[in-house]
Amino acid sequence: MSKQVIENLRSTFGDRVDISEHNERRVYVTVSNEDWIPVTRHMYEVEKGRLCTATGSDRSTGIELLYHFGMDQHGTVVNIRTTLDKPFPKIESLTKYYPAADFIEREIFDFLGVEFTGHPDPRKILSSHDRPADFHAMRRDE
Amino acid sequence: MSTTIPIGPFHPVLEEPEYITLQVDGETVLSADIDLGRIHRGMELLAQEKTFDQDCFLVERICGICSASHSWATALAIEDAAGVGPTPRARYLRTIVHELERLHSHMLWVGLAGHIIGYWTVYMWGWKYREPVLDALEAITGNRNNYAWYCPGGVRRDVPDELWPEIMKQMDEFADNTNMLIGAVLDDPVILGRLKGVGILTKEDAIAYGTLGPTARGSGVDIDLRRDEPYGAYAECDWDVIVQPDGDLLAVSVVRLLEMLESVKIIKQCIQNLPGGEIRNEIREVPRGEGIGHVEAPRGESFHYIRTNGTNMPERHKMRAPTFLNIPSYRPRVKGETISDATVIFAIIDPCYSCTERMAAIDPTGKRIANGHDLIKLSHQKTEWLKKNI
Amino acid sequence: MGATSWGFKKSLWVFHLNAGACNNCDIEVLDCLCPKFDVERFGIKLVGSVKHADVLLVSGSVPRKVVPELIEAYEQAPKPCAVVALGACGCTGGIFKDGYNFAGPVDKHIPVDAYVPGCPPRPEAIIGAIVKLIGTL
Repeated sequence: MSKQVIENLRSTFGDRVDISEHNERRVYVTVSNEDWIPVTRHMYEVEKGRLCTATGSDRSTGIELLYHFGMDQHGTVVNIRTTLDKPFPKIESLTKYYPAADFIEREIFDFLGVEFTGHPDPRKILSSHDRPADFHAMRRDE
Repeated sequence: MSTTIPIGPFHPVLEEPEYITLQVDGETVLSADIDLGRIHRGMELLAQEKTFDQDCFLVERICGICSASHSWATALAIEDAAGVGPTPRARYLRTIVHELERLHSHMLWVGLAGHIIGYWTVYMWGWKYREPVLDALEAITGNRNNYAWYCPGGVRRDVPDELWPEIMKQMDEFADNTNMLIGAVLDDPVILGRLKGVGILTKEDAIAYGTLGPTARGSGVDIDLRRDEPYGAYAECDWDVIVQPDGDLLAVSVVRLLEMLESVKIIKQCIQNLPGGEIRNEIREVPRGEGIGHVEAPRGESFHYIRTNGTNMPERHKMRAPTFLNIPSYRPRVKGETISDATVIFAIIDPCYSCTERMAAIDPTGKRIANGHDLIKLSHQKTEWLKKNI
Repeated sequence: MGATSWGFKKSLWVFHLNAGACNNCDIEVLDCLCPKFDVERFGIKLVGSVKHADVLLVSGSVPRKVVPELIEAYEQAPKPCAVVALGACGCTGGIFKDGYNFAGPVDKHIPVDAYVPGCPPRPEAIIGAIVKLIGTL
């Protein structure tokens, strides 16, 4: 069911996308930081995916971003992954192309300190106001 | 000249702005700012210290009204990672409880919406009709909410056959009561005056903001995970997705009212076709990897992502409740509307009750002008005015 | 029996405060008002302003952001005011007490007169707690 989406990604981006199919309903696509906005925009504007949410994780390789695109017309979820370098992870915000990313990116900034450049309202969203500005609850730095 | 109006709730007036602050010019709302975090308990970090079974119980408490949804989505995510599904009987049982939850959640919303626009009878009736659904849930799972019943591989307790005839009877009564309410709501010119043409969210905005559930379906966005990525027994039941094109408060209300009737259909079919057999497939091992589970909760998609590392605990568990994506759609909805409609417009996305509590209006000097209690009073005043002038 | 006790025994005005609860307890509180349990026949009424409250019903595990609101609510309530901590979260923090954002439980910040355990406590338990509270006032 996600075959068409995978073919489109391959034909548009070639080997800039590293595609792994967990099963017929779950696809994971790894891209570089430079290709992040082109691929996520493609998922929204061309493939008409719906951004369900995004998972940020502090892993040994860096800060991993995983944007989950629900493909309601195909009944699958296509996940776009990239890894940002610590200690100051930074990437362009998707919000100006896709407003749904607004709160989602604010949450990742709040908990992991990722700077989303161009975000219209880059404030923390859930943390208490009395926490220090550089407090990010899910960071594992010492 | 613009002023900022705090929408206060049943809540004391405080110095800082609260959950939602409205900027107002006279009676018209210019914009709304939303501040979250009062229910932030650090669940994603807590989940990393729970086993998979315990995790399903933890996530029920993300939101009390859709506890089954989060629990089922978590179980689905673990099953996705493990490559093991539930038993056929479990699929049907899970669907029954999920739809019962949708019934009590939508009827709760009917009551709250009634309260906000000043129809206390609707509030009392809605909550009265909810009670048999909670009794059914208690008979099946052991609790009125927070069921501790969904688990990876199936469900924890079977349901004795003697319960089903009474539940079927309650479903017929619920459908009758719902039909009565639908007739009363759609016939009442004052309720129509409060809801029709108010708080419009266009289809383009609904898609751009990523809105979910009835909030999106009321703007013509035809998405429903139960049909789009069938889980449970939905593919085996005959039911319809309810979509309304107008995008105003009335359209979303109609979606919720009609969805209750569809849920009754689904529950009855599941009971009639319930397969026998085991209620749980045991999952002995969850290999290293990742899994995603998402379900159509009463408010929209509940999404769970789990990363596993071969142990019996999640390495990372991302949880996203539907209201998180529906809340930003409040801003385009309320812009240009009057402050007496501000609370009912917010209530249309069906946030958790405690979210409706947290509205505040603040003036440019930082002082509160009105709290949520005041704004609800303004809403009641508008209804009274309409009653006299329609 | 003093005037205050007499006043309390006639009817209780209850203000409900959500201090970080998931809503289950809050819904069960509202359920007490509804036709099946109908707590208003005992003269117990839910009020919209803390300044009218005889009883503060507090649910939730008190995440950090809520602490000043909780204390301010208690200070604004006219005294004497009885406080009831609702649910496992209200009593001890429940399943959230090890969370990094946990700043409760309720009795860490304001004095509590009655505890109603449960997740959520049933409406009968909530009504029972308030009735027991009336007996001790």
